[in-house]
Amino acid sequence: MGLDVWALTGIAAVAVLTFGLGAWGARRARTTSDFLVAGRVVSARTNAAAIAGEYLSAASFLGVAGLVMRDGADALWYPVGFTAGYLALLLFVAAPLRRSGAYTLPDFAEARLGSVGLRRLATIFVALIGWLYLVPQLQGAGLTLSTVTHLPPWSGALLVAGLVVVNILFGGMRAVTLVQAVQYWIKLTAIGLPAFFLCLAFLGDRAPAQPALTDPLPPVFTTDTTVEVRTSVLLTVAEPVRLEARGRVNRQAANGPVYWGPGTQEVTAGTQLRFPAGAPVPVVIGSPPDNASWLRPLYGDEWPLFRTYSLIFATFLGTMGLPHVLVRFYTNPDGRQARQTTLFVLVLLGLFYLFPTIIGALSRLYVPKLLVTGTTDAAVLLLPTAVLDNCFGRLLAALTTAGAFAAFLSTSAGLVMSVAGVLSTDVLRGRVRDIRVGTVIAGLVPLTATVIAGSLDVSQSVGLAFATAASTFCPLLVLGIWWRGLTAPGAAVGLVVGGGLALFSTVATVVAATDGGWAGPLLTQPAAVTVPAAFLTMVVVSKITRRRVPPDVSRTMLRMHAPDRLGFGQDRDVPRGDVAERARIAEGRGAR
Amino acid sequence: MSRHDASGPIPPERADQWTAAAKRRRRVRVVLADRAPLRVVRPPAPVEEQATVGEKLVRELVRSQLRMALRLAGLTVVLLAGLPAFFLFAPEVSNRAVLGVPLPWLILGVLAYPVLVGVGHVHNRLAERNERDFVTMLDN
Repeated sequence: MGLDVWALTGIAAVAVLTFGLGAWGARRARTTSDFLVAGRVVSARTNAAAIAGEYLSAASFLGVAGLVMRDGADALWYPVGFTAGYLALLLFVAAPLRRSGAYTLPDFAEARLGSVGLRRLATIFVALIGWLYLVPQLQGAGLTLSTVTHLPPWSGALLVAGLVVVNILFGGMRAVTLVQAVQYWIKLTAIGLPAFFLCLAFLGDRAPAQPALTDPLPPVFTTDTTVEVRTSVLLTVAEPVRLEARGRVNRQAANGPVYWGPGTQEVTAGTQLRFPAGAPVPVVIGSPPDNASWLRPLYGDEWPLFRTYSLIFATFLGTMGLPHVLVRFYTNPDGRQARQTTLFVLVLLGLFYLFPTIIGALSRLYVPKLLVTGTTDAAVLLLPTAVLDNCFGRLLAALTTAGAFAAFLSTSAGLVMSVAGVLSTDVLRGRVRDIRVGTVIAGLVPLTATVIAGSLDVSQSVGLAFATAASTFCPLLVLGIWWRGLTAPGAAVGLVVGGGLALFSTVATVVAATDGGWAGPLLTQPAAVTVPAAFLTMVVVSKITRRRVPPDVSRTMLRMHAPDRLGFGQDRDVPRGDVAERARIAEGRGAR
Repeated sequence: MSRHDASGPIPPERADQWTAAAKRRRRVRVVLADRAPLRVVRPPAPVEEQATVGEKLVRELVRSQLRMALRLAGLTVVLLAGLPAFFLFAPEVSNRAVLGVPLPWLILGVLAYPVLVGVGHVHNRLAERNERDFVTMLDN
């Protein structure tokens, strides 16, 4: 590896572009409304590119390809679910939410149910989900930077967090909207071009010394390969293999040639394994060991159907509950535009997700060593040079690295922004200065967590953030928009039950991961249980507290559902801020 | 926290300001002469006040939008979420390949996306039709 100048140049270019565009856009950001929702004048197409750019995170750019490489057909549900989440959002939430005129999720909760307590509770969950989702972004940044340089992982996290916080401090959301829109196209290019060229190279070079992806055989190492095991792993060995090991294997010191028969081997952190060319690849436990079972869906005997459905639940319904996704909808001019925007987003996401699958499948042939350590998140970064060991390969690798950085930057920016938004309006006093304080807090907390916490699979921790969002804000939004009977106590108890269960399984998974074992499907994929539980709780408690139905529910429903041109869905006034600021915004509206 | 008092039920004088703002905005749109000019509809004051007729109309609109969204969601669930069960009970299908790509990969990796976009497109058209019907009903 070593210091990769090309990749560093790519990272620097993305950073400079982000910062430059941010500074350029910042010249016009003056009022609170500018900061939070870009003055609500962003066009549907720009907004859609910004939403997609913000949404395509480390999990999409690095994680999906890595999962496809390791888990095969079952992993294809991740990108499908990430996209289908926007369909659920379009069907049930987009237009009414925009017309409700609220700025943030807690704003919606209070406007709909008239309870300050519920607003506070929602604020807590927005911050928790935002931070839960930020940690894997910063982890991914660390992984990327330590893959292309010898810098320690925390430096990448620090770089991304710092860049995002500084950018928001000087421009807020208006700058971010522009930056996000550009970053979608950067990301699409950075994964599309390499996927295309590597596919061509693969078709041209027909004879990688590999069993075909359809054979019931494990992948093999194409060259002599040394693997450094950094965190302890359990490996499944499908075909007998001879190798050299230096370190600890099966809790015994190993130094020299060893023979592994079919079965399970435990390799302790710090061990070095040397595989000769042509040796079959052992894989981390829990993933398909041979190519044929990798290719077929529903691998594994531990409730494969439950795992798949739970994943579908979490991703289909979790998207609408992610705070950085929702805040984007307030930047649409009206409900109709919100629908248009969402449809564009579906198109843009579908286009993007065609490529990580290709990269993942090729990675299984060309960088099988990642299967041994389980760090398959690095596949996108390492594949180009593994296929093409020349200048062009390094150029493509620089491109994917830059794209990965764009992914961390844009998602982190959106998350920090939305967490800062709720912190500043609900915890602080909602002036421009408070948004700045909120931004610093919103960036600092996950940075600390990333530096302290151990490593969890990027897409696994993202999956848990989705599960938490699906078990809290999804029922709140869907019932709040469509059911008159929802009450504040019902919503509050539902949030606590759904969110509590999901967070409990998150903690349990993290603890299990640090112990080196792996938690069962009920804990790693809790959504199929927690989402129905949250819905049920909200409905039952609302029925019990029927007399707490807000008196203005008819007016709220009218506002959310009446067509835009009737003029009921007007924006709520600027939540806080001084009189001069309100006047400026009123002026801005008049001039439009 | 003063803010929270402000965001309760909307006081009527503010509703008036909104109506004024809405009028201003509509006039600007006409001046700009949009390609498809929006038909200007008087904000029908009765809808908000008359709890009987107006309320019933709104309930009807919400119900028809929800019914439509649920139907489309049901369709998507049958099409997509039916796949894991299908793969489980018809394993021979998952071994089929088209142009060298196994069927599950082709469906999940490529075909799923146009389906999602298609359902979204149909939803937008139907939702807008429901809203147009609602406005027409108010006019009569």
